[in-house]
Amino acid sequence: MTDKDVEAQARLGGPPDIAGEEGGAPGTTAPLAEPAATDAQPIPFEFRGNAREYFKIWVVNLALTLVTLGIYSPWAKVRKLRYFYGNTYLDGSSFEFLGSPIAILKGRIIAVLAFASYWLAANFYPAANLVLLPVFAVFFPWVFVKTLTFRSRNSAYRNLTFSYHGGYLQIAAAYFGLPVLIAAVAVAIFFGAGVPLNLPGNSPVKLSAEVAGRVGMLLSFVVLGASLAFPYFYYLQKRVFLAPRKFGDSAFTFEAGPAPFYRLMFKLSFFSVVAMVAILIVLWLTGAFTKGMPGETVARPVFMPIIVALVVVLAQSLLFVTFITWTRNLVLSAVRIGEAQLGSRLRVGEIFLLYLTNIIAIVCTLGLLTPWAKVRLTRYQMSKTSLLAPQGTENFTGGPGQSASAVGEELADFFDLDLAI
Amino acid sequence: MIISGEYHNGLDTGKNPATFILGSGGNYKVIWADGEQSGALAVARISARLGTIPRHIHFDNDAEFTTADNDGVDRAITAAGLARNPSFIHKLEHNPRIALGALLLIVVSVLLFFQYGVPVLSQRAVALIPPDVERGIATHSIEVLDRFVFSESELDADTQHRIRQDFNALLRAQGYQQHIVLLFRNGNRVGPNAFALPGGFIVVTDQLVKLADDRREIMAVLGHELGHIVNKHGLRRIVENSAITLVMFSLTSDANTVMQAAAAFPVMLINNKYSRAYETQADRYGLDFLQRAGISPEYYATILRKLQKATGPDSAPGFLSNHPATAERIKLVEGRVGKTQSR
Repeated sequence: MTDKDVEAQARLGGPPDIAGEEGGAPGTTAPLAEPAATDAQPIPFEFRGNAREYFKIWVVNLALTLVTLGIYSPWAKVRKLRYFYGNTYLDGSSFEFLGSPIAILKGRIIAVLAFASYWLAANFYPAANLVLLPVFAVFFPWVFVKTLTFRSRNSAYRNLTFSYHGGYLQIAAAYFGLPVLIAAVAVAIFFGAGVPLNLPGNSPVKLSAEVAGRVGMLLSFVVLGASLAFPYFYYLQKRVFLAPRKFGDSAFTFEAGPAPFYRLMFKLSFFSVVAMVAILIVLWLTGAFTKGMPGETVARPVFMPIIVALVVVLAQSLLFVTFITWTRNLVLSAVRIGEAQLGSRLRVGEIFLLYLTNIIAIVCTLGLLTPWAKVRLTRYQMSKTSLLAPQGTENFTGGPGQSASAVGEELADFFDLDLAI
Repeated sequence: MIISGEYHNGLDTGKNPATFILGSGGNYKVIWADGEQSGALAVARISARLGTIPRHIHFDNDAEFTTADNDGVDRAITAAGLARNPSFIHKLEHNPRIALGALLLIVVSVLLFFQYGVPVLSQRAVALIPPDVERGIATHSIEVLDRFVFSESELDADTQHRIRQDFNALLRAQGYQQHIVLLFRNGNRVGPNAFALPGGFIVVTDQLVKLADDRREIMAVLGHELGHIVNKHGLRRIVENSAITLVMFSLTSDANTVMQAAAAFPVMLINNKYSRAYETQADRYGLDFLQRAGISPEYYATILRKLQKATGPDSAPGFLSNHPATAERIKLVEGRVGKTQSR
């Protein structure tokens, strides 16, 4: 069979919309599809990964990392990332992770050096942390940009990549604005009151009751101000993380202002107060506060403190899960990519159950069920995430060099670091 | 050889259903609705096979061909002579027997590491730490404890002096070179207790001194703390805690931060296991110390019983505790008492 025959056969057996006509230079742009009607429905993301398959991948890569004394770990990491990107589908196409293990190796080396110096300082030279923390802070926005640029440029959908354009000062302001502000005001108050800073080595200074009272009052104002400013800076952090991005040449926009962040924090504070009061009332009703009377014969349940601790921990976890779930919904639903709108509708109860069962599984197997936990969490998260694209998913465009096929040398000085953001 | 998939031109996100054909000489041709392109497959970048995720063949002109037909791509790679055994890692990951072997390897190495590796590692690491660093850690710990827990001792100077004198006499008699500093503090909510810190510091709370009816009981406790100092247990626990955390962290590095935090619980259990072993070692050391000093181990049993009475029965089940059950410790001591008497 000649090449021509194969080609002819391919044309016959190929997809129905392959017409007979020849033509079109390699890489020519396909004519854009008809714009969809305005009543477009959100398309859900879908995670097609499978816990059994991923467990095998995870365990083999971990064993390879072990026998190579850790050298293989960046390669393992790339395979794991590729698995999750490649199984995440939107409108029939999956994402692709293109990152090179070398960039991850560089990130690992930086992380290990930073962690080792921190560990040595924390355990053996506690005073050195005073120097180390500002140094980390200065480098943080730089690491942040390098990492997000690397991650974005190496993420592709239908051969078009993302990019990140956040600036150093923007990031520094969002992450360190509040701490610097608090520190500045606190130092000003102490200075104004004539109190020398209580640095290690100085003997504690005794204040007159009057001055101490005034300083205390001013400091409580600082605490109040800081809690009021927190949602704003939290909003800035989320915005600087997401907004300065592009998919191809469609810019991301962050549609939410600070107001919904304030509403979220307010609702959450309200719930925590309600939860606290409810727990106290239940404890009071069950008699947990009454002391055993001398000569009391009724055996008091020994496990009472354990139950109380459990209830408090559960309530705290529920509040925390509520916080991260609401935040994710708020933040992702605020993102627009060109004309398309992201949506996230995670439910607190479902996420809480997922986390709870995942944690039990991880703890009981000393971490061996981590892959299973990750797959089921991702599957749930993706099923509740969607994209509303009035123009359809086929009409995003990119400039030259923004394709996945062109990813390469220009990323040489970027690296990947696991940032907990 | 024909593979069906999609052609993505790299300029827009159009799907372009397409057909990939591998011809002779390793040349390919991709055909889609409004075009085709051809070239040598050798200059294309083909993504490595992984699970069932789609493969991407990135061409040198910004375009790609993508397909879920993993077997087809592997056949094309072999047919074009680009690799003899494509998807080698995938084959390892796909084979249930290899996965099982990998699992066993991991479980066995982690258990062996916890059982034998960590203690040896911490012993070696601790030997490298210079003494002034040790003292630095101790001074820092004391500063923190003084600020948040302890207050100045209310014992009179005479009592403090006599305890120091007794203990120093015992140390001298047994030929100890290391200088041991005894510090007295009001333990407040900590109650009757004594702590060994790196660098040869022992903190004794007023409450412990008051609990003892005989100075030999305090000497017994100090013997136990001396065991911690001589064996550098404090430093070893810092190193061990870090090693265990690192292992658990790498095992759970896939999970998100919240689920990873849950791994702190197994870390605590393993830590407690080492800690209990150290307590027993220190108990034995303390008893030897007493024996050499000619003090009956019964004094140690007495103070342990008093401590148990003062702090209440052990509240947590054994595996949750960082000390062995007091009853077991007393039994260990009583075993010694029997031996000494029968001698």
